[in-house]
Amino acid sequence: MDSLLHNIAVGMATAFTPSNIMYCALGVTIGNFVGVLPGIGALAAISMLFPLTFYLEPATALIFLGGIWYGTAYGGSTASILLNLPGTPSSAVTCLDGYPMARQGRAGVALYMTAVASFVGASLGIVLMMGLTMPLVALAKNFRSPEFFSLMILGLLSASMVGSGSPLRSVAMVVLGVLLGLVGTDMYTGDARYVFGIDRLSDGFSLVALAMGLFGVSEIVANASETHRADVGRAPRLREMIPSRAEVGQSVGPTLRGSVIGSFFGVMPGVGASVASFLSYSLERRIARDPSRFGNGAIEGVVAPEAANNAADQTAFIPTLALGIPGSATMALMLGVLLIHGITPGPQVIEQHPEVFWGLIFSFWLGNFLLLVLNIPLIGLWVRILAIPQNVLFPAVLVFMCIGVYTINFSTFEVALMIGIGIFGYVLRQLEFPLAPMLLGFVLGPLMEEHFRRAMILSRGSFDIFVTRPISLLFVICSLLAIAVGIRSIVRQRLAAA
Amino acid sequence: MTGGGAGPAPAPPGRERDPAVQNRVSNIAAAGVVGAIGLFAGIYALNGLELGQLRRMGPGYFPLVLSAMLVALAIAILVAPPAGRLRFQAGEALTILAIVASAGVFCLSIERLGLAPAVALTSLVFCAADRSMPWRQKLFITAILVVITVVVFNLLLGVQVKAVQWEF
Repeated sequence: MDSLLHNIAVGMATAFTPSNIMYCALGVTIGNFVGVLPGIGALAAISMLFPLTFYLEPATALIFLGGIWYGTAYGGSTASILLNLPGTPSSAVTCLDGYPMARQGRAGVALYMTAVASFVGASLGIVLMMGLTMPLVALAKNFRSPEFFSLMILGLLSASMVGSGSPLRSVAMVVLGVLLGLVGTDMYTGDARYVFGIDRLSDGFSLVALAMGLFGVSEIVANASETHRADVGRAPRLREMIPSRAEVGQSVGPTLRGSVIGSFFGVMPGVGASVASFLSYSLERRIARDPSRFGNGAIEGVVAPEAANNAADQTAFIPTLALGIPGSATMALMLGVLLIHGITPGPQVIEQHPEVFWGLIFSFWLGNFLLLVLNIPLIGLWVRILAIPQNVLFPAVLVFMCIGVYTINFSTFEVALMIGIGIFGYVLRQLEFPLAPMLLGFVLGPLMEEHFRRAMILSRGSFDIFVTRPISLLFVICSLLAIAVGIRSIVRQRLAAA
Repeated sequence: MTGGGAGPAPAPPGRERDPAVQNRVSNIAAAGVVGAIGLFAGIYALNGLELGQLRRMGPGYFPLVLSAMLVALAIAILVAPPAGRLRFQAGEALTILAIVASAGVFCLSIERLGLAPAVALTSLVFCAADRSMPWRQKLFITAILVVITVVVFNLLLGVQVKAVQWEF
């Protein structure tokens, strides 16, 4: 109890400094804005702003990028409700009932209740983060290289099997990402690998150039031809946002159930906010007395998925910070922040740098409160911004990417590398390869190799070590289950194609 | 980006591609990319790196395992049901050209002319490819970008790049 109080004090002291409050507010506002824009996602925005964090303390950097991450979930629902265009994938399901509500003149109520449900979901997620992370860290202290290696395999496999698209292509991208992560100097022997005599590559590919190339460049290419103006109508007035007593009553249960579902799926690698929002929507429809209301503006169909995706966005930090295993590409970038500041991700981070973890937790409280308060007044501004054609934004995006990548080492090589990776990423995207698993593999690649080599030294070259240790065996079994899920989906596709 | 000319050109009559053929082409191309990278990485590891043994791995061991996995995955992709069809679009190719050209201009100008001119040139070259945007708007966006980047990077973050310089 004393240690919890101490941690809370450390967290508050870190989160509530003027500079961290400012970066938290800036992060959530940018996140909210990016979430509203249907073109740019959280991943692209975080990739682009990543270089700015080199100039910040690690805790401040995470507070800033974390704010963008969960801010997008609030903003994403605004575009879903007003435009029927999901600003983020996890808000897609909100369109189903949010947009009909807007067409019935109830946009104000939908937006208000969404903000409240998001806050409730996020709060449950943060409470779980505070409660679950320390026991998980205590468990992970017993982990040695075999456990870490099999856990990474499980994380990467489930991230590629559960996501949409072809599991084979996802796994191929993970492996390619791991391979790209090995470029540079071998840590054991000092030998240069895949460097081709280029000095700049001896430290490996830069995470920023890779992330911006893969997500920034391809976002520009995919969205730059969108020149249409969105027809958003007018922003709802404050008076129209007050829900009726019946609507509040209908929202309580779905919000709480959505929060629980979201918190659970957020922790699992690869599943995350999108799956959680879909599942909570379908649960509400299944248990509703009158399912025909769904799709026609049922408030339950708006609040449940929004509570779920916000809860999932928070709990996604649990495996990332407690174990050093990111469940998504965005979380991999969060680990990248730690790596760049010389902090090795893993269970030891929370003990060695309590200010980073607990500061982040308290910034979550602050950020979500700010979003709850800001979301409503900002809607008028977002509506006006949505009316601007998107192509106006892309010169700015490109310029920020170029400056961001250049300032890492003040080298134009990184800019060229980013563009080269961007073109490669574009080709891969055209061939239906998902790009997020590649980034996940890239971040985990060097750690995976290190743990694999250590495990093999420990076991004198025997693979038994992965199945004779109970926790590692559990991860291996779960990995096999993930592979089975992938094979089943391939067989189903095959049968459907036949 | 391409303005009025955006979108794929309609295929001339009689030359429309069969979707099934396109699906196969997509799979073959996907398998080709993955397989080629796998083979290249494998040959590099075999020739240029020490493999060692499983109990004491050299720098080439893990990359060789990965390259073998990539080749196996390429074969699996080849025989798996198609995941989609090729959909290269002329408009997107033009956007890529604009990105390459403007990033090239950025690389050439940032160290010689400084931040403000580099940003202006990058933005103008990128905007030039957008035929739907009037020039007044292009100049307006560029001017705003120059102001924002100089304020954010030079004044607020103190990045060590001069706003304007002349080094030839």
